[in-house]
Amino acid sequence: MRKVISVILAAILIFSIPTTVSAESTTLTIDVPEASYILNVPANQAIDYLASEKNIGSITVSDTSGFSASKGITVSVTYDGQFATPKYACAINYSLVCKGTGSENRYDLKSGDYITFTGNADGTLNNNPTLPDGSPANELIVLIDTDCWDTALGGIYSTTITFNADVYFDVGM
Amino acid sequence: MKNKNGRYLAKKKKKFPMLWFFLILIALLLIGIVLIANHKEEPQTILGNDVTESKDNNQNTNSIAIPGYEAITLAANTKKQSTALKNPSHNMCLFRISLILEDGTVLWVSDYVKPGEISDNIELSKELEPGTYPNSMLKYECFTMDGNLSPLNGAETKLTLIVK
Repeated sequence: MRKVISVILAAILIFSIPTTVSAESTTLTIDVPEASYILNVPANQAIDYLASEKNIGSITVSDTSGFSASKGITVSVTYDGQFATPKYACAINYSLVCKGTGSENRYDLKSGDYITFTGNADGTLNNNPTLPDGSPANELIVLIDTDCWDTALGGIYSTTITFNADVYFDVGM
Repeated sequence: MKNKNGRYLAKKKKKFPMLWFFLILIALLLIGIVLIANHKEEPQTILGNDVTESKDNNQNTNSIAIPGYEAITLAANTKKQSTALKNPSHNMCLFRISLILEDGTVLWVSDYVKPGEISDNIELSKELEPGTYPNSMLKYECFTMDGNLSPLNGAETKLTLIVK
């Protein structure tokens, strides 16, 4: 019995000795970080009765990482252009504009239009978005079709805007 | 041991010696079942957990913070994932998050997630084969916290699903 045990122990000892590798190899790895961000979009806002427009604030980004000079995000808006109420079939029409530079400079932001946040070499995003024509994009303004006030029946009207973010790569082609 | 008559007494047998063993076994089983039933799987990956929470005490009523990702990684050939998503704590709305493939297949819809809380682990509607799924989407529906669950502005963030 002792012989059997000694043979087993010897075998364990032999197999536990690390073997020498005759040729060593080196693996080189590169970890390209994936981009992540927080998109800050305008929250709900009450609009005054008979108002013709309402500034609902800006689209901004924060906690951005993993971007580059050729990698940023586009944010498009989707909306149906109508404040609706469940009580009646009537609606109050509206459209969106984006303030550019100066108070008079406004860009029609139709449903599907987008603004761009370009990336920086340090991995963050530039928090000064641009419109498709390259001009700065500032606050979003809801323009209300004031003719609708005359025909609107009493009730609470609401609408939602969906903001669609997409990481883009500018491959310089 | 002898009795009065000088006869040896038979050793008194223990009544139901196995009964205690089975009782203990059943008790342990019951404890195990209760522990398993109450156990909530801890997510290994919480997306959005690294968001700066500097505004914790200053909840933002003017905007809604929506986490976005270039890609997220899921496990192949299993519905149960170890990934969960967080509603940033400085929001003042509930999130309902959906994970949707490019072809419109809804892979997962969360329950309502309160600000600062984490969704349940993602459980897919179908198992995915290993590969990359570009143009997938995280859809964030936002609702008021006043009990009416009125819809607020929302967002859709495109991403690539990496399944391996």
